[in-house]
Amino acid sequence: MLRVEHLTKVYDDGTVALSDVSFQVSDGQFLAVIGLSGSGKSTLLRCINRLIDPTEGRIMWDGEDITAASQEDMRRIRRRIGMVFQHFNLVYRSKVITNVLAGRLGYTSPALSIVNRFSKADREAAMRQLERVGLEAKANNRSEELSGGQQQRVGIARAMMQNPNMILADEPVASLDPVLAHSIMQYLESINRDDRVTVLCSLHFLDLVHRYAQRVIALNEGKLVFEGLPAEIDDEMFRDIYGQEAERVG
Amino acid sequence: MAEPGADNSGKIPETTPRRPKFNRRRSLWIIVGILAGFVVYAYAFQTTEVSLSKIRDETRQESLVRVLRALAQPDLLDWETVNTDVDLQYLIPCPDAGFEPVAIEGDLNISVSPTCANPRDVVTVSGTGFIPNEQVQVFFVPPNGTRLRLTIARTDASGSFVEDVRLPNRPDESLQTIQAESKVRVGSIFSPAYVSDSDGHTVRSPRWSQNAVDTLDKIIETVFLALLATTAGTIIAIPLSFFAAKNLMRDVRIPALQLGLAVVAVPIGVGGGLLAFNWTKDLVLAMSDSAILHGASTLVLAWLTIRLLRLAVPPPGAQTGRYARIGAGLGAGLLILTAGQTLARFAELAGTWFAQNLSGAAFLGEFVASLGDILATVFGVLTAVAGAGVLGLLGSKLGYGVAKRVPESIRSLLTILSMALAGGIVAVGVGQVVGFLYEIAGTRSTVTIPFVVGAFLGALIAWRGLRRGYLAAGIGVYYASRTVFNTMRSIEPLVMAIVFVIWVGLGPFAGSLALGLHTVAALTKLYSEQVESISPGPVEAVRATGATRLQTVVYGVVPQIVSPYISFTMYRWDINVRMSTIIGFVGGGGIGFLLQQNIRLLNYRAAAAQMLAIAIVVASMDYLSSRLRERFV
Repeated sequence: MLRVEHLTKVYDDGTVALSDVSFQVSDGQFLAVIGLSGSGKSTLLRCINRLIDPTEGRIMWDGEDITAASQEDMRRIRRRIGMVFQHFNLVYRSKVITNVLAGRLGYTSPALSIVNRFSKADREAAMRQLERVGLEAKANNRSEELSGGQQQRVGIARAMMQNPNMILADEPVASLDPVLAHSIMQYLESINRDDRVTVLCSLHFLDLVHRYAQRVIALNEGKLVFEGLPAEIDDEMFRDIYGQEAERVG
Repeated sequence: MAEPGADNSGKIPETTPRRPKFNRRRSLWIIVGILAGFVVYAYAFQTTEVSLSKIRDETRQESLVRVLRALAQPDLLDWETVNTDVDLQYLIPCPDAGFEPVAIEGDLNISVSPTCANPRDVVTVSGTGFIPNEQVQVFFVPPNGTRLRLTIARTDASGSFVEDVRLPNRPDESLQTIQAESKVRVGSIFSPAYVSDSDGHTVRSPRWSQNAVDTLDKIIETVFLALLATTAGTIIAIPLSFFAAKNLMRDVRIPALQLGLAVVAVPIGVGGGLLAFNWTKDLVLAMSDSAILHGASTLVLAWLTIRLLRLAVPPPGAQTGRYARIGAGLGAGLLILTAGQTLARFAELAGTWFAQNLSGAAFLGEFVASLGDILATVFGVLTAVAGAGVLGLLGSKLGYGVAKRVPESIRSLLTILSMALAGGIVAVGVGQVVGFLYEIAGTRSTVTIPFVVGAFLGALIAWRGLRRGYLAAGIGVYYASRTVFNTMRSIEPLVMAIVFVIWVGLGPFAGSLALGLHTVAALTKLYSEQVESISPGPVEAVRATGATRLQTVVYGVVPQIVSPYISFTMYRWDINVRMSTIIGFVGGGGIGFLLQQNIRLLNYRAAAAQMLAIAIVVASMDYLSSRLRERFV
């Protein structure tokens, strides 16, 4: 169970990215986060694994206070939270397999991983994850040689290497074409359904929300404006989230 | 004529462009600007003594031509010479029909004007094709074969001469001869000749001149000087560059209590590290001077270290007691120290043995021995740094533990106290340096006053840290290292070389130290700017997996900077080769020393050889580095 309580983030320049956001996600749920660009979706996801330190509020996960965790505790918490990014964020100059193995860093002793020593079990697990996303043949290619869809699949394999209980997906399909978008979303769906991993996924297109999400929260200018089932988003609700002049395209 | 894409429908544009309003103030400023520019450049002309009349002055132009010609003929080859005659037919007195002598064949040529004359007439003898700046003896040879010397001429830089001579009173009806005798070079570049010199040795002509041999010797010295400076500079600059990168240091924020305790612990760590270093050093020196013994103990110690490290850093999930781990870590540290010492000693002993027993490869043995010496020195420094690091970390952890257990008021008090102590310690350190530089005696102004001031500043910083909860220690390190490296970079290597020449004496060692130091400063800046320009996404992704800061750097940052680092290092080697050609001007070794000497002696042909060598080396370096960059980047 993930509980976000009164979460507020004010950046150093005074921008209020999140103000008093509270919601709950039960284990194994697929939650979509929607809202305009700049509405605070990315900030919210990054507060959950503390890539960004929230200004106020509390995030409780499995009875542990993430917001109060020390650096060492945070390392332990982060390794159980996988993250998938809009721009894939692979290390483009490294090999695909190295990128996937990087998901194991939280479990590896720092001294050994510095000289690129991963255990045999880790290497085998990395190959299995690559097989799952259909990229085992590309293991020794440089990541920059892959197409966008393939890169995102490597990103998912990296997140899965962490053996996560939760995956934060920050607009995972926004840089991909619609066909690839569905294929990536299906991987996330399978991870959610078969591996029982909680998924928090920010999305732009409502049809994807209807198709994949079990619950939805919506942000507008850092405030939570909707929490409920995807089917509950009617035209009026839509305008509340996206502004009065918005038109539905999806 | 309609412009392509223009609207041809004949519609009048809605707004006709209006003439910009005349702006009196702006025009005034432009005029003032132009006048100011005029004054600035006039003054610049005066101070730099710009003078076109000097450029046009004929005697100066002649000097220029002389130097240019000398530079165009670098002193690279020595030629053997032999005396050669060249004969020209002549008639005294002139027949009525006049006289035209048979033309001379070959490179040497003389002519006399007029081609025949009466006894005791003054005629002009001129010659071409001789060796530049060489004596030419001119003789009159009557039919009986006696040689009457008319004059000794000297050729100019192009190998010609012109001389007026008075003919002897030797009228004769048959042909007589005017003869010029001078030295000529033997052999040519493509078909060299072999002749006996004055000592009876067979020598080749032409052969490399002494200047060419010296130039080659010094240009090799130059290239290796640059290589050493670049290597040493790069090794030091790489770790430092991370501390001068804003994007890495910005997030390093430490609670004030942890920072204070860490700073207090650092001097203790340095002291402890040095103590351990000296202790192991004495231990190793007490062993007998046998290279085999030291080599074997290095291997054994290394093996033991690895075993202990396995205990100290167990694989995740292994059940190892905390104290066992700490003990194993300490033991491994001490063993590494001892192993380093025995390795250094082994290199020294083995290298010296090699140098003494293998005369042909003595320099290899000496190199190994030097490496051992360097290793021993570097190990001392590293131990002090490692001690500081470990103790600093322990101090920080202690701070964390204490902060979690005590109530807030006590925590605040402890924070201010520890930061005051830390500030005091740092200030006393600064005070000691100042006291050393300005030879201040007495402890009042080097210990007491700095401590009080530092403690006050430390407490002030702690107060700030209390309000925000942490101190931006990373940004402090960033600005400090930036300041140091910018200052160091602004001092030209030539100036640094002067200081190093005073320290280690004339020669290439001083030059490579100066270049190395400057390389550290310059590369740290270039490298750190590379780190700052990496894409942050991958770093964020690696951090999100639960990686430590060090792992994040190794997996997220390093792969992104490898190729620019290689590229910058090669660029720096290129610069260092160029710099090392002039570092000799101040005694820093390399080819600059020869170049400067020859310029001072006005020996421009010799200097030209050195300039040529520099040009060849710089051009080929440029080519090589661009090829390597294509390959790696």
